[in-house]
Amino acid sequence: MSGGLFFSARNLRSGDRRLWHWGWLPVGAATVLTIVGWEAIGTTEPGYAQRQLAFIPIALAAAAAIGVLHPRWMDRWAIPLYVASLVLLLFVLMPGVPEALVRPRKGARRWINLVVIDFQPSELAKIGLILVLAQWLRAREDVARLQGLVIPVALASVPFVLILVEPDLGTALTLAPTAAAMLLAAGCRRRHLAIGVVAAALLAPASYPFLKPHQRARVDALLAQVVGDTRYSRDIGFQADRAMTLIGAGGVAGQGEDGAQRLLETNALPEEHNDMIFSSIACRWGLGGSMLVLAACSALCLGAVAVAVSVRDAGGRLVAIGIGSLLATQVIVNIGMNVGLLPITGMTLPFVSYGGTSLVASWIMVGMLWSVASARRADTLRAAFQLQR
Amino acid sequence: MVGWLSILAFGVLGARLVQVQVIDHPTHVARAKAREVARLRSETVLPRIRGRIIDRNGVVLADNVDAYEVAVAFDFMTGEWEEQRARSLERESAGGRAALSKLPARERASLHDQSIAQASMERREILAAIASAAQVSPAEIESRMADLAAGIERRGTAYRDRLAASGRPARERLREEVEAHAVVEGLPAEDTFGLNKLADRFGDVIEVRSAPRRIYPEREARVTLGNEGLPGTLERRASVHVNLTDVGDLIVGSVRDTVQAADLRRRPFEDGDSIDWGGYREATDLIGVRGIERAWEDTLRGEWGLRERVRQPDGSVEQRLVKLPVDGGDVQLTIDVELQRRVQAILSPEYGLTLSQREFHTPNADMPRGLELNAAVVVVEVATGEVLAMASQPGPGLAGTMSELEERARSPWIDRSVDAAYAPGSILKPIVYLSAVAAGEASSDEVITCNGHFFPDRKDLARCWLYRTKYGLATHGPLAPHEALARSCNIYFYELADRLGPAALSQWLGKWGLGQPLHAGLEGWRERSDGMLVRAGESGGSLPTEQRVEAWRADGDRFSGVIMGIGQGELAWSPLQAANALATLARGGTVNDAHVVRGRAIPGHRAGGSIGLSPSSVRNALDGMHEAIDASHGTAHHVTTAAGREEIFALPGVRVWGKTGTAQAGLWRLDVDQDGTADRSVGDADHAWFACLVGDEATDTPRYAIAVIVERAGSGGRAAGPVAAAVARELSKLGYLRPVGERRRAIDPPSHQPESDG
Repeated sequence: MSGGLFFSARNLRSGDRRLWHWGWLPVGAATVLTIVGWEAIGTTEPGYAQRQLAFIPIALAAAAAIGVLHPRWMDRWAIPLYVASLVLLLFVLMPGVPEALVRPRKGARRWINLVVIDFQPSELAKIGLILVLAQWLRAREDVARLQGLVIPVALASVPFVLILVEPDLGTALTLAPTAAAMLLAAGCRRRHLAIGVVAAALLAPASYPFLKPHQRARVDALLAQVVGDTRYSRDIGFQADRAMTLIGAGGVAGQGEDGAQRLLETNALPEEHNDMIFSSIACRWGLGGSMLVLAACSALCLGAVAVAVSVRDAGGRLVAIGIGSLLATQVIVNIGMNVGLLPITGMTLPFVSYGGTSLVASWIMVGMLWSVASARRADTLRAAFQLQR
Repeated sequence: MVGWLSILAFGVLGARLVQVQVIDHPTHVARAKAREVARLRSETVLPRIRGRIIDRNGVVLADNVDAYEVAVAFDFMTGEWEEQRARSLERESAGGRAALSKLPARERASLHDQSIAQASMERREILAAIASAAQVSPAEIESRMADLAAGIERRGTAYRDRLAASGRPARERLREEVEAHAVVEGLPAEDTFGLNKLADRFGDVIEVRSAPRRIYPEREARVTLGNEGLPGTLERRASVHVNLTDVGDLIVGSVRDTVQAADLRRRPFEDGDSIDWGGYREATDLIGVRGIERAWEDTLRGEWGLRERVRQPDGSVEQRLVKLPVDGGDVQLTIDVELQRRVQAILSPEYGLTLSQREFHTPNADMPRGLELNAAVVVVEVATGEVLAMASQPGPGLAGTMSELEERARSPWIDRSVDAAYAPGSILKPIVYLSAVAAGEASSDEVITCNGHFFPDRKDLARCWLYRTKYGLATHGPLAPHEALARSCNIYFYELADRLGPAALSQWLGKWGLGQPLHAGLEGWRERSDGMLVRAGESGGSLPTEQRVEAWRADGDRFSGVIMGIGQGELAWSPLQAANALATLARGGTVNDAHVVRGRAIPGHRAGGSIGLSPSSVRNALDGMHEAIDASHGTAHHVTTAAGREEIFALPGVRVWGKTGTAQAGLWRLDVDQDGTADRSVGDADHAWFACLVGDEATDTPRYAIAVIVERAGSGGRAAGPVAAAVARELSKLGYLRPVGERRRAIDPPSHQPESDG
C-alpha cells in the first residue's frame, strides 16, 4: 500500500491508480439508469421528479467523493460504519423515539426524519455489512471450514434481523445473497453454502403457515398470477396485477408520455414512482425502454463482477462482489415482482426508483466500485481468492 | 458463478418481458384501457316509476307513493374517493398539474397534507348529513357502506371467476362497481332537502333518488250487504257488515323488493355487452309476485335510465344523460272494484252463504253445520268478455287468521276462480247439447226419451238422477231440449255424448275454452322447484287425452265417454272457463274469451270467430236455462229449507238463464279438532255449481254470465244458487241491471216436488 488516501494525478503517474478500468462500466450504467429513472418519475408525479433531481448532484458528489478515496478507507471505516448502522437500526425500532424523528409509515419504522431527507438506516447497513464482511473475510483462511462461517453469518444476521423487524422483508432478504456471494468469493465451500440454500429452500415452504396473513395472501396471489389467474387482481394481487397490465400495455413501442400518464393514473398503480417504477418505464417506452433498463442493470452488476475479477486485492474484490450481488438481488427482485414472477416486497430499483437515500446509497456503491477498480493495490489474494471463472 | 447466476436471472426477466410486452400485449392493453374507461366514467342507473293498476272505472288499485333513497358512489364506499379528492384538491389549489410540479418540495408536501385533511373532512361531512337524514349514527352508515361494498366486491370476483371459467373475456369492473348504491331508503321528500344541496356540491358522490313504495289503496273495505238474498235459515239481521282486507288482492297481486336469481336469469339487465333496459339488476326494485303485478310485470316495470359522469382531465366532473328512464305503463283491469268488494263480501263467512248447511246435502251426508267452505265466483260481461268481478274464498285476508294446518288445507293464496279446476257437472249440459247439434249428431229440437238408465241392460249405471228408489225409480219420459235442460235430465245428455263420442266431444269442448288457459291476462312467470320458469296463474282445466280416449275404445269402455255428457269423468274447468262458456253461448257462439285486462293485447287470447252454433239451438238452450229458473219444475227454481220453499232468483225486472251442477268430489275428510289428522268423514260432500246468465227482463238479452262454485256444499241449486242470486242483485244495485225494487217474495209452502241433485 502506498500513496495517499485521495486519487490524484500524482497517483496516476506513480502507478498507484489507473485511469482506464472496469469501474467505468457501472458508472455508465448507473448514469443511464438515473436519467431514465428521473424521467420516469416525471411521468408519474412531476413533483417527485423535481425532488429526485435535487438528489442527483448530491448522489454524484457522494459517489465522486468515495471514488477518489483510496480503497484503504474501507478497511478503516468498515467497523465504525457497521456499528453505526446497527445503532441507527436499533434507534428506529426503539420505543419512545419521538414521531417527529421516526414516523411509522404503513406500520413500518424504517425512516429517520432529517428534515430535508428521510434517511433509511437499512441503506447504510447494506454498505456497512459489505465492508465489515470484506474486512473480516480477507484475512481468514478458515472460511472453507464450517466453523469459519460462524462469525460472518453472525455479522450478517444482526442487521438482517433488525431490518426484518422494522419490518422490511425485502431489504432484509437482499442481505442473504450478498453475504452468500461474498462467502463464496472468500473461499467458502459450495457444499457448505448449499446446506444453507437447501435449508432456506426447505424452510421457505415450511414457514408458510407462520407468515402473516397478508404475506401468505401475497404468495397465493403470486402463484395465481403466474398461471394467469386474475382472481386476486382486485385485492391482494392488485398491485402486481396492475403492474403487469401496465407493462403489457406498453407493448413494443410504448404508450408515450401522455398515454402512459393517463394509464398510470386511471389504473391506479400503487407505488408507481417507487417500487413499481419499472412498470411506468415499460408502459411509457415499451419493450425498448424495459430492455434498456434491463441491459443497464446487467451492465451494472456484471461491471461489478468485472471489477472484482480485475483487481488483485482481496478486500476490494470482496467489496465488488458484495456490491454486485447486492445490486443484482435488488434489480432481480424488483423487476421480478414488477413482471409478476416474484411476490410484492418493498424493494426499490436502484438508481431508478424515487427516493433520496436509495439514490445516494446506490451511487456511493458505484463510487466504491470505481475506487476499488482504480486502485493498484498489492496482490493480497490467497489461493481461495482465485476466482473460479 | 455470481456473474453466471446474474446472467441467467436477467435472461429469465428478459424472456418474461418479451412474453408480457409482446405476446400478451393485446390482453394487457385492453385491460388497462378498460380500467381507464371505468375509472374515468361512473354510471348511475336511473329508476323509473312502476305503472299503476286501475279498475274499469279508473279507480286506482295499485299505486306508488313518493319516497326517496340516498345513494353513494362505490368509490366513496371503498374510501378511494377520498384519495382522488385529495389529489384533485391539491391540483386545484396549486393551479393545475403543471403548477403543482413547479412548487418547492416543502410547499408541495404541506399542500398535500392540507388536501388530505380537507378531503377527509368533506367525507365526514357527507356521512354526517346522510346519517342525520336517516336518523342513525355516521358509524351505522359507514357499516352499511362497508357491508354493501364487501358484497359487491365478492360478487365482482365471483363474476370474473365465472367469466374466466367459461373462457369469456372478464369485464374489468361490474356495473355495480362503478355505480352509486342506496344506503338509506324510504325517506320522505322533506327529509331530503339538505341532502339535495349536498348532492349539488358532491355530484360524484351522493345522489338523492326517487324510490317509490307500492301501495294498494282499495284493499281494505267495509261492505254492508242487505239480507234480502239470504235463504230463510240465514235471514236474521237487517244487514250484514263485512270487513275485508284483501279486495282484489288475488287479482292485482303484490310485489317484492328483492331481485331473485330467477329474475336475473329470465331478463338480465346486462348480458355480456348487451343491455336490456327493462331487465333486472341486483338493486332495490319492485317485482310482481302474484296476479296482475306478476302477469304484467314487463309492462308495469318500465325501463331504467342511465346517467354517466365523466371525470375530466382537470378533475371536474361532467354529467351526461345516456338514456331517460321510461315509466312503467298503467294496466287497466276490466274489474269493477265496487262489484268486486261486494262479491267478496258475499263469499265471506260473515254473510253466511259459504257456511255448510246440513240440509243442502243428501240426508246421508254427515255434514257438520257452520263449516267455512271454499268458494269462487266469476262475473263476465257477455258482450265484451270482460270480467267484472272474480272472487275466491278464503282469500289472502284470511291467511293471517289461519293456523298453518288450516292454511295448508284451504290454500288462501290460490285464486279458485281462475287457478283451480273442478269437474263441470251438469252446468256443462247446455254446452254438450249445443256441441252435439253443431256437430250434426242431433237436431236442434231432438227429442230423447228418458227411461231412467242409459244402458238398456244396466240399471245401476249411467242413470238419471230421478231414477232412484227415493223418487220411486221415476223417469222423465220423452224430452225436448229445453225440458231436458230445465229438468237436468241425465239420459238426454248421455245420449248426445254417446252420439258424439269422447274424441269429438273433447274437440268441441276445446272450442268452448276447455283444456287450456283462456289467457285472460293473469298468467305470469313462476319458478318451479326444479328451477324451470313456467307460465302460471290460470288453470286450463282438463280434457281426456287422445290416448285415454283410444284406451277406452280399446277396452270397450263406453261409460267413460258417456258420462262426459253430464260433466263428469275426466273433465275439469275453472269457474272462469264456466262463465266464459256461458258468455260464448249467450253471444250465439262468437268467441271472445273472458279477460281481465283492457286495451292491451294478451298473448294467446282468443277473440273473434265463431264456434258455429245454430241459432235455433242457442234459443232452445237459453229457453231451457230460463225454464230451469222460472218454472217450478226447474232445478234452479227454488230451494227448500227448514224455513220453507223459496225462489232462488226473486229479482223483479231481471231475467235469468241458469243451470245447476254438482261435481262429484267423493268423501270429505275433515280435521275438526285441527290436530293434523282427519277425524271425521263426510260422504257425498260434492262441489256445488251454479252458472247463469242475467239480463234485464225488457230486452230479454243475457248481459252477464255468473259462475259460482262452493266446494263441498252439496246441491248446486241450494248452495251455489243463492250466491249467484246475491251477485246478480249486487249487479242490479250497481246499475248493471235494472234496479231491484222489491224484497224476495215468499212463495208456496214446501211440496213433494223433487229437487235435482244435478
